[in-house]
Amino acid sequence: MSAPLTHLLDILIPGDGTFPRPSQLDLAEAMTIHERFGAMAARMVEALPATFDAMPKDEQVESIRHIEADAASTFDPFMVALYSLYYVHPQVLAAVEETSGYAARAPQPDGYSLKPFDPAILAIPAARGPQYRDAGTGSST
Amino acid sequence: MTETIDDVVIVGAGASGAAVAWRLARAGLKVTCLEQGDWVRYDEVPSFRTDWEVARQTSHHPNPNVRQNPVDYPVDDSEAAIKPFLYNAVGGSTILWGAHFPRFRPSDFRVKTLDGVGDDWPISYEDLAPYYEENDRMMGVSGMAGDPGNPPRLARQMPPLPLGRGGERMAGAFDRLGWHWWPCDVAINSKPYGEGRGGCNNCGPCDLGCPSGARSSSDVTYWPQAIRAGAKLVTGARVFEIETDNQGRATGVAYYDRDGIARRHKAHVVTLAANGLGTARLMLLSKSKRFPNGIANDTDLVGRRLMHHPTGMVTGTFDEAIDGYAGPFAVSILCQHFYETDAARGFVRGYQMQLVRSNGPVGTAVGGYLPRVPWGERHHETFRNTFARTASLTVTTEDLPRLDNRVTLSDTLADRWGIPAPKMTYSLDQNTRDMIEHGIGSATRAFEEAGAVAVRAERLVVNAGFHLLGTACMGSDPDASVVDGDCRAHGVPNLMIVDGAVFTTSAALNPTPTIQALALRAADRLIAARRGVEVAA
Repeated sequence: MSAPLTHLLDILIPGDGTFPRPSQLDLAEAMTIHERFGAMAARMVEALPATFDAMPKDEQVESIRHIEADAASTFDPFMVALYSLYYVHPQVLAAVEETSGYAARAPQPDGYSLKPFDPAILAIPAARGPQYRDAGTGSST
Repeated sequence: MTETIDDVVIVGAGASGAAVAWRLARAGLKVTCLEQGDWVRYDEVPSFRTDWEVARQTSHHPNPNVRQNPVDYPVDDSEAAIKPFLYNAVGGSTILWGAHFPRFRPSDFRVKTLDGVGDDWPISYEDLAPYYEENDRMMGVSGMAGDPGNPPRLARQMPPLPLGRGGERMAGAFDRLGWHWWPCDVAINSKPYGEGRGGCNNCGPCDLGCPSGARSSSDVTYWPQAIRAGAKLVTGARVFEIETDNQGRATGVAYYDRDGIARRHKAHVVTLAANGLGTARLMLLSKSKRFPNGIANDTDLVGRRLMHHPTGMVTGTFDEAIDGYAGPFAVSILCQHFYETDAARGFVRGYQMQLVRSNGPVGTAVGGYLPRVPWGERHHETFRNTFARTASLTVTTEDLPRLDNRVTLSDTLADRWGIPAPKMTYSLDQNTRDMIEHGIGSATRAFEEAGAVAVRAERLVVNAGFHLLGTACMGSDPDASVVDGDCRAHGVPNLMIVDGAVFTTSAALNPTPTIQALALRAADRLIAARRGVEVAA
């Protein structure tokens, strides 16, 4: 199953600049052995044409589009699995950090800086009169 | 089966079960709570790992049908337009919530009188106000007093969390449009508060569990105090029946322990706190000669009137990073400008717009607030133009009760012990669709005013069944409701229901503060009346 899956993943995420292709990360192998995602990968490979590896690129793309359109219950979970494994890979997180400033680390324990709240931003809404309706039960406007 | 006897047995250790356990135990009642989940270990939460976003798609997914953890029960959602979100653990769904903590408005309790739809609650905002205050103190709320959008109330325990760059942009836009907004009230510590609970460090994924305890959940707020007051909490206990005597009075519950052994727990009062799905399921499972359609279900209302908060989502993309991955994901600012009924809009009731931050890399790629980032040659270009540059406004509407939106027992699904799963049957009405459409227009206008370079709307967020309400509704008329204003079942005087199932109407706001205030009030009413409560012999 590994060859068509490897090929498929590289078509879905071709790599770009500092973003690696899945084949550079051995993502097909990681997906295949993953406790939850392995079954999704297996279903997706089953949905591919038997001759997928030998098909011209444009026909491969077309066959994937067919599965996306006609077999969403196979394709959608597979894409969740693929993007989940790809975007937590250290090399990919490093590329995300380079392109966006997002820290390629776990959210905890460091978190991100927390600025104090500045109440000056409330000048306009705080000056309004009551904005809620009188329900006739005591908290009248 | 083995037997024990208590004053009160509570089913479910989430937001309401914890509150009612604390209140009753503190008054000296002998209380046991049965919870099918376990305690969360905060030294093991996924946000300590770089693959934390995989947990969001698997072991910590809010939908139990996706998550499939051993403690979960499946939900038959084959006929439900909105999918169920809930969690089974000590703390219940507060383990994965965003901790938005608004109160209902006074008008939310008088829907029939004011707008001629739904029903009035048998209690008012003013009846709940002192319990809202006490619950704020127990959970810990960061926020700002003085909101003209709500009745006056005491200062919150902590100052608001910062709005974030997206929040500041949207606040300016709302100001220019003349639309009222206010910082969200949040049950997240902006500085240390409570027992051993630190301040928020802005990490983002509150839903994966907060290791510092800054994000409130009832396992770190109510439960430690409840247990010190004498409440007993049993985990791994899966209740499958409320038992009754010949007169129809509750005598206790039957449950499977974590080894699958059936046990019985007797009590003078049975209290259900298993959310609008689990409570209705358990009531429907509890059939007897006296209650052939399920306990307290002579009116056939148990399970009916299921309400969510149908939500549209509008996402603005900006031409610079606004770092939406940082900060509590669900809370920044709240706009209730379109909350009250205005006949000129073409629908009754209204909606809130809540600014939510954005996702990490996986969440951005798989979609949610926006469609999935497309695969193929332009994948990374789209990702670069999206990640860290978006903010979203929810359009969260009031869901009016309808009898055909309901919870029943599934014919096809059961949990690991063979207990039939709940089935949700749910669709939206035209009033709700009109409200969402109006809200999408409003939110789009707000993002355009804020300078978004692209705005995209999702007309219904399918994965948004966080609020499971109304399936054992509260009312004064025993022929038209399941419980009375004190949360006690009309037909079973010693059966109390304290979760969102009792909501008469849904309002258009996150329900947890109201659920917990109702639970505290119900406990006080039970304590005051305890010697007069009719119990089984």
